[in-house]
Amino acid sequence: MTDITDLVIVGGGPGGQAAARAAIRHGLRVTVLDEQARPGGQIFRQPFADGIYPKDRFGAKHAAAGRAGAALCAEPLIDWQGNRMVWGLTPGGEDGFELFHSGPDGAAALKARRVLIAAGCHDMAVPFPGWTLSGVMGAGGIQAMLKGQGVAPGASILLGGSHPLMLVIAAQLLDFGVTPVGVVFSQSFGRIKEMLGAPLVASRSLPVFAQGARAYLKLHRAGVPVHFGKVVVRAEGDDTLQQVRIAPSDRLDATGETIACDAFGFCYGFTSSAELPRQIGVDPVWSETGGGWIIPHDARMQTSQPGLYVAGETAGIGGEPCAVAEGVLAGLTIAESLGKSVSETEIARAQTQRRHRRDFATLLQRLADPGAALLQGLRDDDTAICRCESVKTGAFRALLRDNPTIHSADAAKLLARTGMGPCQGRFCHRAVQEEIAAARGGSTADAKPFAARMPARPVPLRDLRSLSRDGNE
Amino acid sequence: MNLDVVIIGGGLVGVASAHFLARGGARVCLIEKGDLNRGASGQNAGSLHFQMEHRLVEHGEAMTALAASMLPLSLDAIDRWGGITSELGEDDLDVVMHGGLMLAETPEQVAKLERKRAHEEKWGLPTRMLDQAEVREMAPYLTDTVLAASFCPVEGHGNPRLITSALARSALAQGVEIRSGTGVTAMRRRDGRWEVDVTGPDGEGDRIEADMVLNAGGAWAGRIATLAGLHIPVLPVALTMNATTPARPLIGHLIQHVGKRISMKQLREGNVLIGGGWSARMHRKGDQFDLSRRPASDLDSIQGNVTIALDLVPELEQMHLMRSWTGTVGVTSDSLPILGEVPQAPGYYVATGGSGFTLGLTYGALMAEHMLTRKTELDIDLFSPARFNHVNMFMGPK
Ligand SMILES: Cc1cc2nc3c(=O)[nH]c(=O)nc-3n(C[C@H](O)[C@H](O)[C@H](O)COP(=O)(O)OP(=O)(O)OC[C@H]3O[C@@H](n4cnc5c(N)ncnc54)[C@H](O)[C@@H]3O)c2cc1C
Ligand SMILES: Cc1cc2nc3c(=O)[nH]c(=O)nc-3n(C[C@H](O)[C@H](O)[C@H](O)COP(=O)(O)OP(=O)(O)OC[C@H]3O[C@@H](n4cnc5c(N)ncnc54)[C@H](O)[C@@H]3O)c2cc1C
Repeated sequence: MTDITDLVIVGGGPGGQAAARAAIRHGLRVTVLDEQARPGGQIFRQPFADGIYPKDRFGAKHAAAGRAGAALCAEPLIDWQGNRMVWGLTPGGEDGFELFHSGPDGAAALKARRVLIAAGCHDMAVPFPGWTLSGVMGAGGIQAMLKGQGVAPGASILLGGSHPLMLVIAAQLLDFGVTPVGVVFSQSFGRIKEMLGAPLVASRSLPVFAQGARAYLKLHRAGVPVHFGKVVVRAEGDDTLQQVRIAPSDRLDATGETIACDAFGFCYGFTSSAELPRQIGVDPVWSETGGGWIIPHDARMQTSQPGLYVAGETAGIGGEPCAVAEGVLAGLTIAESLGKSVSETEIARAQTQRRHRRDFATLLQRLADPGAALLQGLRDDDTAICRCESVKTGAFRALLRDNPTIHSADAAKLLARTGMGPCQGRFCHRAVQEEIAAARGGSTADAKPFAARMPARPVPLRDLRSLSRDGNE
Repeated sequence: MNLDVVIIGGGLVGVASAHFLARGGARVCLIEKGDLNRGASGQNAGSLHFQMEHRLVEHGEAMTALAASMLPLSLDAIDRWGGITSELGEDDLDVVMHGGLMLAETPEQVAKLERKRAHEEKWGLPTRMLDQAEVREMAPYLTDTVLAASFCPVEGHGNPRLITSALARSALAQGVEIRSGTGVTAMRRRDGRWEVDVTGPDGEGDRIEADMVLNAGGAWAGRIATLAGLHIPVLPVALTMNATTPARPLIGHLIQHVGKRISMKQLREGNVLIGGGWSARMHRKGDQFDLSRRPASDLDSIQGNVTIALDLVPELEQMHLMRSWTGTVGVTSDSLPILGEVPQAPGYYVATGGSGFTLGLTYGALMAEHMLTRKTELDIDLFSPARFNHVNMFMGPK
């Protein structure tokens, strides 16, 4: 490969886009890779093709984000590559990196002097009885279907968890013509009121508060029941979901009440997508309520690996405004590191902006936190702890009892196969770590993360054969 | 407690030695600096390969003949793997001995297979040649460029995830003390016994005394030898493994090749494991290899390895690579295992060598027999560390 790009950004969500804009403003050549077809990320996910729903279906802001994304792609310094899943990141010789990615037409390699990982996050998986039934999914997954494909996963959809995003998604379902059967909050009404009524300044920094308050009113008017202080403790049905059982948050065994539904979205928080930096040897840190294993960085968004930067949810769950602030900061400092003249005041301003956004993000994390005890109380011995490999919680506990020498998630994986399936531990790692902590004493982080390896996601073997890396030798 | 043996290293070799030593009545303490089975023993391909590997037969007839002297170890290993599940009182250790094929695709490779087989026949290893039609009948999933294969009906695979922990459970039940998260930092010989200094999980130091020390440190064995002032020429080598997403049953044998670096097998969970000696990159720290970090993946190796697999089993075309990983194996300078006492350091034993998964139970059993009775039924003189007297005569634990 004769060509080396200044900057490759993984992720075309708010964080990646903000970085791209800042970087091209300073003259860098930027390639953005995203597994979605179009820019937008999670919050502004665009339809995979025009015309599957009216452009303003999800509000003016979503439509504007779609136009802004398209405009970014048209910038001469931007090379937007959609439908590309990045599965490998390695040092690429002197002062640079090599990335490997796959799409419908096979695999390709790319060299870059700087890399920014703004890969966002995904729904935090919470094992509970029946969660492997078809029809049970993360609430974010429901939203992704709506925005990306213009379809709802069911006719009677229930949302349950502790995160205010549930209200937003329920309201979007209403807009979509599907009336949700309800929203179930584990927190009390008072706690949620405190959250939605958070000071104006907070709601400006965290639109999800203001959005949530509006959505709550809308649900109320439409007669959608919103339950407080309750938890979905079991999903029931033969093969596919038919109903869930709910119980008071402080009495999980009182499971008398049921709600009929054909889809259930759980929403207790989010898990950062941090595999790529970890693959190249950056040690993550554990954030109990802010994304699990997240990527630490310095005041310029650079990781411990020189030249590798992070922004947005990969650096810890912070929401869209925070992702934008971090993207801007990373775009500026990367430009500066490549010899472009960027004023220190501009960088300092971006750093201040970022600090504010993070502070509010921490507030949201605290309010939306269901509490580890509640989540751990949801699973019984019969609950699958690892859905890829169908490992039951009870079997996992027995294995820890029988093998007192196991202290780490990786060691447990070798024996139990937890984390060995196609998701490579993305979904089960938190529960696995919690069980090890419960068996051995100590904290959830003591069990250490599963080792992250290439490929970050499964890659067709034939892509590996055909991948050409000319000029590499 | 008055210990007989301190074992250093909690891989298959160390833990198997602990099991067999305890069964012979010894009081044993095993020291592992990380978690058990997290070195090469938990990272390997799990091949139970008894035919002489590609790497052993490609350096001329003299080397091949020398390597053939290890075949009695393979014969011992066949029996041990066959019996280990019931011996340990386990229900299921996923030991599969359904036969292995070593492939040839050119006339030269066929000739090499036949030469190799002659050695094996001399030592009594059951193998037979299959012609093209026989290969196709036995293994229709293979490409038709395969001209011939040598077939060993007892080859197959063990499960690296299960065997070491089963042995550890057995060792614990027999009173072995296992200290994981505990590294050996220094050792010395005093008044005819060994003093071993260790650092535990919380950083606290301790001193353990025993009559004998067994270095079962795998890729670290050379460094652990340094702690006793000795040279043990074991060189760390980083290797790559690949696993596919699960698929329907397809590959019913252990597949190797006499002219290509490949080992392939399908697990009962459906994943195909693809390996066979492709390198990974060891990290470096100044003028040393940094063994504290997992070697980095090398995409060239992954591509090279996967390409051979696709060529040999065309149906793999439909499958996905789910994960690759790396591991560090200790390879001895002359390819032969090192088993026995170091003459310059009485009571100091070493057990290490290549193919340490296939031969791990054998290494452990032989060492236990040797340490407890000072002799072994199966002659292991050839593998004694005494062959390094020419360097160790200047060395020693003082
Ligand atoms: C499903 C879901 C729905 C959400 N909905 C909302 C919402 O409605 N309102 C709200 O305020 N917040 C929402 N959030 C929170 C959301 O994460 C932030 O608001 C915001 O999108 C974060 O921006 P980001 O740039 O950090 O990450 P993202 O917007 O998540 O962007 C990351 C991008 O990286 C891509 N990517 C990740 N890994 C790879 C890879 N290996 N190869 C190629 N591309 C990759 C993804 O496809 C994605 O487009 C949602 C989160 C999730 C997980
Ligand atoms: C990728 C790969 C594939 C392989 N495939 C096969 C195969 O298919 N078939 C086969 O037969 N063989 C295979 N091998 C070789 C086989 O895995 C090894 O030969 C065997 O596992 C060695 O076992 P061991 O117990 O000697 O070493 P290890 O399992 O490496 O154990 C050594 C232990 O010593 C510990 N240690 C090191 N220093 C100290 C210290 N100072 N104090 C305390 N403890 C210490 C380490 O932490 C480690 O756990 C493969 C190896 C690799 C890496």
